[in-house]
Amino acid sequence: MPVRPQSHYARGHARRAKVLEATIEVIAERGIEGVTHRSVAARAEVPSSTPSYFFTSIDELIGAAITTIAEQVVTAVDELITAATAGVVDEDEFADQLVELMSDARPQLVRVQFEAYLASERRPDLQAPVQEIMRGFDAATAQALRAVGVVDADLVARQFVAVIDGFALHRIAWSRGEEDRAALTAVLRRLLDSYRGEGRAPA
Amino acid sequence: MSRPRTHYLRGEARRALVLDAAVEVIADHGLEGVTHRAVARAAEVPLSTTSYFFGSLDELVGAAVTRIADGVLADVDSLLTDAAGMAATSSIDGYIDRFVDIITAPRARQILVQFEAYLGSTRRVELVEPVQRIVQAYESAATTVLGALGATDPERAGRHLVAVLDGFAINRLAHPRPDDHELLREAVQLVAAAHLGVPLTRAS
Repeated sequence: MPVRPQSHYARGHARRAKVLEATIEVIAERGIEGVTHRSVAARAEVPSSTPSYFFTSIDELIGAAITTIAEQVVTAVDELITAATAGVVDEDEFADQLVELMSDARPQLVRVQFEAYLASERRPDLQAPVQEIMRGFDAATAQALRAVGVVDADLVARQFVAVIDGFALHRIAWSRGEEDRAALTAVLRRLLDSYRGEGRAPA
Repeated sequence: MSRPRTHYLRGEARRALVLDAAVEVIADHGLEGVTHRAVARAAEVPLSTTSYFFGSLDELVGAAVTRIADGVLADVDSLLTDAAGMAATSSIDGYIDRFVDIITAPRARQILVQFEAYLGSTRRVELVEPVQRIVQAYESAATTVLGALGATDPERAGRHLVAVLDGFAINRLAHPRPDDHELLREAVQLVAAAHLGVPLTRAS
């Protein structure tokens, strides 16, 4: 039988993905500084040489892990926007799902995402993927706001993203159970009403 | 507090020096970067000094974050003292501007360490209490201020305000943009408008 590079490649790809998944788990458990070739290899249950086969430095490994989160976010956001454009989800559902996507559905990823935000100044390799995540959220939120008739949606979006990120951060710092989600929903609704009523703050 | 003796005071000053150095180390290297050696070097004290004051690294990190929490509480206290006088004399806008200035006054590095502690509190039990105290202090100040201004649901309004501030802060740490401050001010005014039920007009 001839050599099949395809499956060889696929196997390598799967191992790389496994290493990246393990990296995200290590960050969630021990923070960015807890990532070492050894800790990731142990978590991925691969030989300790495997991470350095795919990634030449720890920063490259962390950057690649954060990039996978960015890619997931962008894909999920694109799907949501497509569904909204096609009229499959209505305004309220869209807002709900956006919040879900940005915080509820992925508590561990949110923590890893914020770890990357905080570390990006001291680890330049993280800046590109971090900015990609931020752009993904900004774009989705702007789309949602445009759909409900908010003018200047791009700038307003950053304000909504700040609220959602702020609530997500506080839930990590001091969770208050059910009230967290209720408060966020109430607050977003009020904010939206106030934008619809007046547009942006009068200059 | 009774008046400490000089000897005690010197000890306190050294302890504070060590904690300030620990905050710097956390800002540069994260919570996991805190070692006796790194902190002693940053504080420019002998290696034995840090372990004289703190039995473990966890204790040292916990104390550093507690020191930040104490600072936050003091800031918030003075904010509320100011608030009482200002509410009568100042426009809502001017008042909110001042609130934002005070909340955003801490240096970027302190906010960075504060947020590192928020995230770290999920894996370090000694951070849970000081971190909650920080969030609670900001939220209760915001609740008091917005309640005094007539917010219909002061508690949620307070959470909203602090979430906006912290959300902007973490986004800004990750990716600073030139219009951050202007957008933040506008966002805070809209928080107030949303909860006070009256449209705001700007002073200038």
